[in-house]
Amino acid sequence: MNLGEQLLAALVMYGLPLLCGATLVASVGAPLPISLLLIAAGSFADHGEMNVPAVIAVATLSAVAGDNFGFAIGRWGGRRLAARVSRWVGGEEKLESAEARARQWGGPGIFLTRWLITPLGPFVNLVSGFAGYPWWRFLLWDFLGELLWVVMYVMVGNVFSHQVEALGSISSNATWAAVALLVSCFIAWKLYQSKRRPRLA
Amino acid sequence: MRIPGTPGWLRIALLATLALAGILAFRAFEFGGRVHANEEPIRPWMTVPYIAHSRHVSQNVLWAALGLPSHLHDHRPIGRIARQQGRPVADVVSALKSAIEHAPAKDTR
Repeated sequence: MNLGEQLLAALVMYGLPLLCGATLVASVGAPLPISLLLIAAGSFADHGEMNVPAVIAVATLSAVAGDNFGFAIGRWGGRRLAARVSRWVGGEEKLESAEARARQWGGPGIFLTRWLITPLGPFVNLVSGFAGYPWWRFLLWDFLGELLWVVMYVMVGNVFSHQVEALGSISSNATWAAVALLVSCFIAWKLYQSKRRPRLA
Repeated sequence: MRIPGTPGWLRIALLATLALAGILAFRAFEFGGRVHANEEPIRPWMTVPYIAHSRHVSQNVLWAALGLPSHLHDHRPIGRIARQQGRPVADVVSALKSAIEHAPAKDTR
């Protein structure tokens, strides 16, 4: 059995405590197939083995707790890395501009990385903490995004409850396609900028 | 088409990420087609109640096929049942498939 199948078997046996622990750990950054678990939990609810409101509450709160742990690491542990990072990105000035950008785009960025481009979520948590993004705003966007993510996957699993693995594959491929598309947009923007920039003789 | 003043690797990276996004999106659509086309195969993580519900068969038929008494609240995955019975999972899966195929009309919900 692969990791996904092992987690599904564990979810079948241990239910909500397993879902809580796995979601918490994945939100901090562990690469676990949590979307698959949410789809499966929705499916098990349709089979009468789990309860939809309980699944949504436990998964949302665990995900928010994990995200806030990542935010706290960025907020209180990140400053020590600031000097090193500033050297990598090209000096203190660029670091400050990155921080300002994180504050400016923080809300929508946090929201979208909760449910659409989820692989970037743990990184955004750290950067938001590091950039000094206000905690209550982070919590608000985080909660809304995680709630949408959990409800979406649980309900899809609940409606198409006999196709758990196929739905897991769809969600995983679609999520990584969104990440690849986002990276493409970023590269295209860089290309556009370099085209517009006047060439020095 | 050459864009003046841009490093070549950026253009290659753009093509590579676009190709990757296309492949992944295609795979997502491909799996999407399977959702309606096929029945989900029986997997080791599934429980007897889950299989019974998804195949519209009485649990009793499946428990009997595994040589076990009927347990409404037994949520062991069939992979674990196979291990406890000292049989390969494939054996358990084929016993369940055969039971589903030959389930009498009165046991089919």
